Amino acid sequence: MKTFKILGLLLSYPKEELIEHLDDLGQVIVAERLLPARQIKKIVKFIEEMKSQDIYGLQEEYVELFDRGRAHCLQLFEHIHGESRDRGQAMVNLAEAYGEKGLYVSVGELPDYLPLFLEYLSLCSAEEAFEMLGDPINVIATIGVKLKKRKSSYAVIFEALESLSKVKPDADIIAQARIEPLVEMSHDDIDAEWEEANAFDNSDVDGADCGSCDIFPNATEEIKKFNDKIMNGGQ
Amino acid sequence: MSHFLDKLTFFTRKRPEVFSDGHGITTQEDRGWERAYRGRWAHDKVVRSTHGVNCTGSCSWKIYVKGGLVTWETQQTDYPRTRPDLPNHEPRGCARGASYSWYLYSSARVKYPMIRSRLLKLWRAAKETDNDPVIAWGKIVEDQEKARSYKQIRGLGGMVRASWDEVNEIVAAANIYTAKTYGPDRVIGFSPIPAMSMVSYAAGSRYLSLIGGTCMSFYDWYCDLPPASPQVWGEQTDVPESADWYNSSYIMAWGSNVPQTRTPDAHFFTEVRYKGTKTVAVTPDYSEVAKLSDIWLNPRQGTDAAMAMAMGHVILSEYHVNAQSEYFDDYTRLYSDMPFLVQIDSQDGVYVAGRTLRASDFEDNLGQENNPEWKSAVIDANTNEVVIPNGTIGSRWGEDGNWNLESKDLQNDHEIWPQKSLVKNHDEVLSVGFPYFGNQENDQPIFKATDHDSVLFHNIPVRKIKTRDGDKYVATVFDLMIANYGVDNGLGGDNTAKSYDDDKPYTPAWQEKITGVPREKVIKVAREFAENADKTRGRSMIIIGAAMNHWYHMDMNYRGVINMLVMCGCIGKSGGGWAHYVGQEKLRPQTGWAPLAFALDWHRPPRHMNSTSFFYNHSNQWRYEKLGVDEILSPLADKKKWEDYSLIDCNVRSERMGWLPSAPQLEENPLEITKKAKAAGKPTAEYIAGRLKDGSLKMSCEDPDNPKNFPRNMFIWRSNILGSSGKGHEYMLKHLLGTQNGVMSEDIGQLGMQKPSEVVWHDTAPEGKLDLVVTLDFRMSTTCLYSDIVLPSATWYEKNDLNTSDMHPFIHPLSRAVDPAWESRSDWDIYKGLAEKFSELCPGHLGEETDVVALPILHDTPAELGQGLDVKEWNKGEIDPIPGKTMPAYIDVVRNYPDTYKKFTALGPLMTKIGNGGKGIAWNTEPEYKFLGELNRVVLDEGVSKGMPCIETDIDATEVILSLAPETNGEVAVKAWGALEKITGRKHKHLALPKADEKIRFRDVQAQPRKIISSPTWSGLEDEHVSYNAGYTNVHELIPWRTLTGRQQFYQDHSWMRDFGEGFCVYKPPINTKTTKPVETLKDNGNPQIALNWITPHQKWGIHSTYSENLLMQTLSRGGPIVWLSEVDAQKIGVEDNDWIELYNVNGAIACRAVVSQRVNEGMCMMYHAQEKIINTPGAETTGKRGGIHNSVTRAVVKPTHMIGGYAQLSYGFNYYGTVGSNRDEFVICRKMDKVDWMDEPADGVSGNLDHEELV
Repeated sequence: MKTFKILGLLLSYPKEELIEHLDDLGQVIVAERLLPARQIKKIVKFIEEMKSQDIYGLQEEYVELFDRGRAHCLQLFEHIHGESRDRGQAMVNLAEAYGEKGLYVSVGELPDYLPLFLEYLSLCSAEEAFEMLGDPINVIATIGVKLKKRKSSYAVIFEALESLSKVKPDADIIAQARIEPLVEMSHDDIDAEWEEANAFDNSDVDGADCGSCDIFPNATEEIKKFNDKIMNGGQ
Repeated sequence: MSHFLDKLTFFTRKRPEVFSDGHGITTQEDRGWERAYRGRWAHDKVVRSTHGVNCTGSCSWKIYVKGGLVTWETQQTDYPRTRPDLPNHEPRGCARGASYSWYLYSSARVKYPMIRSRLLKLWRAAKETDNDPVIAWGKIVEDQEKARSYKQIRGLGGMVRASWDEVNEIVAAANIYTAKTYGPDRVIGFSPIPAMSMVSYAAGSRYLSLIGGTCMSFYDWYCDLPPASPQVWGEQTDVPESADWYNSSYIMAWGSNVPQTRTPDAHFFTEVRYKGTKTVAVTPDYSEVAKLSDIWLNPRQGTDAAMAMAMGHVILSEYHVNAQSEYFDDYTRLYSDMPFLVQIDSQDGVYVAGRTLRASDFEDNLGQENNPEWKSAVIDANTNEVVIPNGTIGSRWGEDGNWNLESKDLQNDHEIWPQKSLVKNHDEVLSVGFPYFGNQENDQPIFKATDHDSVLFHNIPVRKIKTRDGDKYVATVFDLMIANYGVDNGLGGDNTAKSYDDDKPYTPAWQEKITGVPREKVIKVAREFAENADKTRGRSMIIIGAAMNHWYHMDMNYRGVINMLVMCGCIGKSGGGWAHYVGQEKLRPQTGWAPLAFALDWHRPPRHMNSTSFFYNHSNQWRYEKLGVDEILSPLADKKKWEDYSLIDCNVRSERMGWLPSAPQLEENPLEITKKAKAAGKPTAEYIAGRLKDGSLKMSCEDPDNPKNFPRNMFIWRSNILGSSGKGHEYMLKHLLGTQNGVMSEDIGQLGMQKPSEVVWHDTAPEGKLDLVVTLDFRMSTTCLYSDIVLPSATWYEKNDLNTSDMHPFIHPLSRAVDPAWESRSDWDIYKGLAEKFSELCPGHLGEETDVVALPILHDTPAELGQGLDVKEWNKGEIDPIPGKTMPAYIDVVRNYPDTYKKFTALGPLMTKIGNGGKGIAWNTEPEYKFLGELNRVVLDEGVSKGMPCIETDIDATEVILSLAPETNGEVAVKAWGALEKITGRKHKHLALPKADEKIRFRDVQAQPRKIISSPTWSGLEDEHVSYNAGYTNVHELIPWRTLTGRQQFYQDHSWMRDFGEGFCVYKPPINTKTTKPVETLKDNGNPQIALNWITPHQKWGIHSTYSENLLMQTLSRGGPIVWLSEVDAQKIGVEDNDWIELYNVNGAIACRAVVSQRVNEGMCMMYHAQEKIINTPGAETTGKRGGIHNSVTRAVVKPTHMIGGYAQLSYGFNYYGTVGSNRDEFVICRKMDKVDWMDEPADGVSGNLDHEELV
C-alpha cells in the first residue's frame, strides 16, 4: 500500500530530501504493482523527469501550481467548501476519522491536504483505501484535468490516483472541467455552490429511533460530499 | 381472562406529567437525535478576538475552536453597558469581518517563507564562495547584472519556499551590509495604523528603531490625515466616539458613507433619528448614506469648500453680524482666534492681511520676557488696551501656570473681555485685498469657474498701533474673516453681498454655478444647522469622510466645514463637533506604546520619515511633475520669491530648514560621519552644520538619484502598500523596484520643462533602487507578489495583540485562539527572530557604533518655537545654520549592534532615567517599571539587559503598553494630569482620581473589552456622564489648543500660508493634473473615449484590499475589479453594464469591468479603492502589461503649505503634519476594450505567465 504514500510524497513540496529518494520511490511503485502498468510507466517517467530538472525550477513550478490560488489547491475542501463556514467542521470530522485509526496530524498541515490523506490511505487496508479514495475522486480528477490542460507533468499522479479508485469520477464533471474551466460560472451556479446546506436534513431521523447518530456526524459522511454533483459543479 | 379484558390495551390512566402550566410535558422518548444539532455547535473553546484590519470597527468576535481548528465565529454581545437612555454598542461587526475565519485556511494564505528563486540561487552561490553572509550579500547587490536579474522580475512569479533560518540570515545580512556600507537610515519600514494591532506594529518598528532604521509615516501618505486639523487645532485628529452621535440633534454626513464604511457604528446614526434628530447627507453620488438621510445635498465632487463657504456666509450673516447669538459670541471670543489682532501690511500699494501682532512688536514686549515673539495680542474691551491673553503658545514653554484659557491679561492677571470686532471702534477703514481662486479655469469642463476678480477688496475697520517699527494698522481676525466671506459688516464695499442672491463670493447664489446645488437648499441647511447649535449650545455635528480630504486643496474643504462648527460653538460640546473617522483609528494607550514601538527605552530619538515626501522624492514621482508652483500661488503673493522653485524644491528647502524630516539623511553614512566629527574634534551637530554650510556635504534629498542616497532595504508589514495606498503605483514599480510598469509619461527632462533648482538632475533616472523588499503577510497580496521575500505571518486568530478604535472607548484584544497554521509566526516572533540573527551576524561588521539622527523641529516640544516672525534660510545665507532651530537637530545615538536582540527583548533603562510622556507632558515612570519587572519577570542572562523587565512574548509586550499608559493604568493617568496641572496652573487630577486604582491587564480585556481612562493625551473624557468628544477638555477644563494663539484658528498667518492664499479659508478649484491630453490619441483602439474624474472611495466588499479577494466578497461583488460609470457617460462611449473597459492616463492603465449606474454623476467614475490586481485582471491595451490597481493612474502631488515647520502647530510630528498624497483631482480616459487578453495562456498553450530566462 506504499503506492498511496509515494503518490502523496510526489505531490508534496520538492525538497532535497525528496529528490534524493526519488529512485527508491520509483522502485517501490514498480515492485508493488498496485497501479496498472501504463500508470507505473508514466510515474517512472515523471520521476525521471523530476530527477533531471533543476530543483529551483521544480520548486518554482510547485509554488506556482499548488501554493497559490484555488485551481490546483491540494487542500481538498478548498474545492468543496472554499471559504464557507462548513469547512472548519468538515476538517474537524476528517481529523476525527484519522483519530479513530490512532493517527494524529503532527506537522502544521490541515487534515484535508491531499498528500496527508494519501498517507492515511496507505495505512488503511486495501479494501478501505480503494473505497475511501473514491470519495474525493471528483475533486482529484478535476485537478488532474486542469493540470493536463496546463501541460503539467503533475497530471500523471492524478491519473494514477484515478486508476486506483474504485469509483470512477463523474463523467459530466470531468467533461465540464475539460471544456470550460476558464469560462465563468453563471449566477445560478454560483448561488448553488454557495448555498448553505441545512444544519441537518432530518433524513436520519425518519425511523423511530436514530441509532445511527454519533456525537458528531461521521467523518465518512463528510467525505461522501465529494460526490455531491452540485457542490462539485464549479472549480 | 377478565384481567386481560379489564386491562387497558390502548389507554393509560396515568396522566402525562405536565409542568409550566401545561406548556411542558415529560415524555420517555429517545433524545438521541438531539445530538445532531448539539454536536454541530459543540466546540472546545471560545476565544475573544477581532480583525486587525485597517478599519475603525474594533468589533468583538467569539472565535470557536474545535480540535485545534477554527470552526466559525459569531459576534460578541458583552460590551460594557452604556448609561441609561443611550443605546448599547453591540452587536458590532459586518459582512467582511464575518468572512474572516475561513481566510485562515484559504488558498490565499501564505504558508511558508517564500523567496524569489533567482535571488535564492544567487545567495546560495555567493555563500558557497564566501561563507560570511554579509559579504555574500554585498557581492550580489554590488554586481549590477546580478542585482538586475532578480529586481526586474519582481511581481512576475518565480517564488520558492525557504526555511526560516535561511530567510532570516538573508534579511539580517542585507540589513547589516546596508547599515555598514550606506547607513542604517537606508533600511526603511512601512506599516500603517498601529492601533489595529499595536504589538505587531511595534515588533517591526522596535527592530528598526534599535538598528537605526527609518520608520515611515502612513496617515499622511494615504491622505487620510487632514492637515486642516493640525492647522486649526494643533491636534492630529481627535473625534467624538460614535455613541456621541446619539447626543446630537443635527448631523451632517459630509463625504462620509456611514452605513457602508462605518457599518458597526451606523446604528447610532439610525437610532438618533427616532429622537427627532435631522440628518443631512452631502455626497456627489447617490450613496448609501444619501438614501439614509433626510436631506441629500450633492455638490459636484471636489467643490465642497464652495458650499461650506456659502453656508458659513449664511451663518455669519444671521448669527454673528445682522443678529447675534449670545452663545456663539461668547464661544468664539473665548475659544477661537476671532479677537486676535492681525497686522495689515502694505504690499505694492495694496493692503493685505499679514501675521498676527505679537508682544515682541512692542517696545516693552508688553512686559513679556519669555517668548515675546510667540505671544499674539488682543484688545481688551474693558480697557480698550492691547493685551496678551493667557494660553498662547509662548506661555506653553519656558513658564509655568499661564498656559490656560482663562480670560486674563497675562501681565497682571486682570480679567479681560476680548474685543471681536472693531466696526464700532476703529481708527480708520482700509480697503484690504483678499485672494480669490474661483475664477481659475480648469482644463476639464465639469469644473466651472466664475468671472470675479483675482483680488477682492473689502472695507476693514482697523486700529493704528505704535510698535517697535513705527505705527502699524491692525484688524481683528473676525473683521477680516467676515469680509472674506463676503458678508457686509456695515461698512459696505463692492464685493460684499447685499443679499444671498447676489452673485458675489461666497454667497449661496455664487456657489450654484460651482457646486450645482440650489441656493435654497444651502440656505436652509445652514440655517437649520446654526439654529440647532444656538438652541442646544453646540449639538450640531459633521461626520466627515476621506472623500473630501483626498483633493489637492483638501484643507479648504475641511476648513470650510470646521469654520462652520467653530462659529456655531460645536467643538468640544457633547453631540457636536467634527467627526473625521478615517485612517488613524486612535491608538488610545499611545504613550505606553511609543516606548515599546520606537525603542525609546534604549535609544532616543528614533528615526522617522514622512512617507509622502519620501515616495515623491525617492520613487521619482517629482521627475514627472506637471503642476507649477505659480499655478497655486496667491494672486497677492510676490511671484519672484517663488519663481525658481518647483514642488520638489519646496520640499528640499523644508527638509533643510528642519521643517520636515529627512531620511535617507545625508550623502554619507551617519556611522562614518560621527567618526569624522570626532577626528575633527567637533560635536557631530556642529561638524555637520559646518560641512553643510560650506557645501562639502549634501543632504540625500538634494540628489535622490545618486546611488549613495538610495533607500536600500524595505520592510512592509501589516500593509499592502503596492496594492492599496501606493500613490503613483507605476512609478514605484519603475524606480523603486525596477520591474515591469505601465508608466506612459515622459519626465520633465524629456518634456523640456524647467528643472528643479535645489535637486541634482540626472538625465536617466535609476530603476530598482531597493536591494531587498521584505513583506510580512498572511495572504498573498499584490505587495507580496512584488517582494523578494515574503514571510508568513500569523492571522488575527493566531496571535496576541491589542486593538483600539476612535469609534468606541474600549480596548480590545486579538487572541491566539489556535496556533499559527503551517509555518506562519506572529509579527512579534518574526522580528524577534530577525533581531536574534542580526545580532549573531554583527561581529566583524558592526560593533558599538555612534549613529547620528537628524531630528526635525517637532510639535509639542519647546523646539516648535522655531522662526516666529519670518522665514529665513541658512542655505541662502539669510541666517546661521543652527541645529534644532534653523535646520534639523543632529543627535548622536550610540548603538551596540550585537546587543540588538537583548535590547529587543527587555524594557530598557531610559524609562527610569528619562521617564515617559507625550504631547509635551512628561512624568516619572519608575513604579510601573518596577511593576513590569515583577509581572513579566526580569532578564537573568548576563549582558546589557540583565535585571530588566522581560519582553519575550507578545503578551509581555501588551503588558508593557498597558502598564505604562495613562489610559490603561489609573495611577499613571493621575500622574499625567498632575504633570499638566503644572503647565496650565489649573486643577485636572479630578478627571482620573476615581479610577486611580484601575489597572487594565491583557487577560482583563480578553474577559471583556474595557473602557479606557481619561488622559491628557486626548482632548475628551472617558466618563460615565458624557460620551467621548474631542475638544471637550479644551472647552470645559480650559486647556488651550496646541496652536499659536492657544485657540481654534480661523486664520493661518505663516508667510507660506499667506503666499499660497490660505490665510483664510477660500474656495480653490481642483488642480490641473494634465495627465490625459498627452496620451489621448496615442493608443487608439477604435472605440470612442471620454475623460472622467477619478474617484476612489472606500469599498463595500472589503476593508481596503483585505477580504476583497475572498470568494464570499467576490461573489457579493462582481468577481474582479470594477469601475462605476454614469449612464450618460456609458452611453456616450457605447459601454454597457459589465463590459470590459480600460481607464488610462500618463501614469498608467487599469483594465476592469464597468458597472453602469444611476448612482454616479456624469463626468466622474468611481473605483472602490484597493481592488487588487491578483484576481481577474486582464492586460491593458495601452501599456501591453497587466492592468493595474486604482493607484496606477495616480501620482502624488505635494503641496508647499504642508511643508511648513517650526511654527507652533505647523511643526512636524509623525503622522501629524506634513505632505499628503492626494489623488482625486486626477482624470482618466475611459473606453471600451477591444480585446480582453488574459496574458496567462501563451499562444502555444504552455503554462506559466512568462519565460523567466527570456527576460534576462
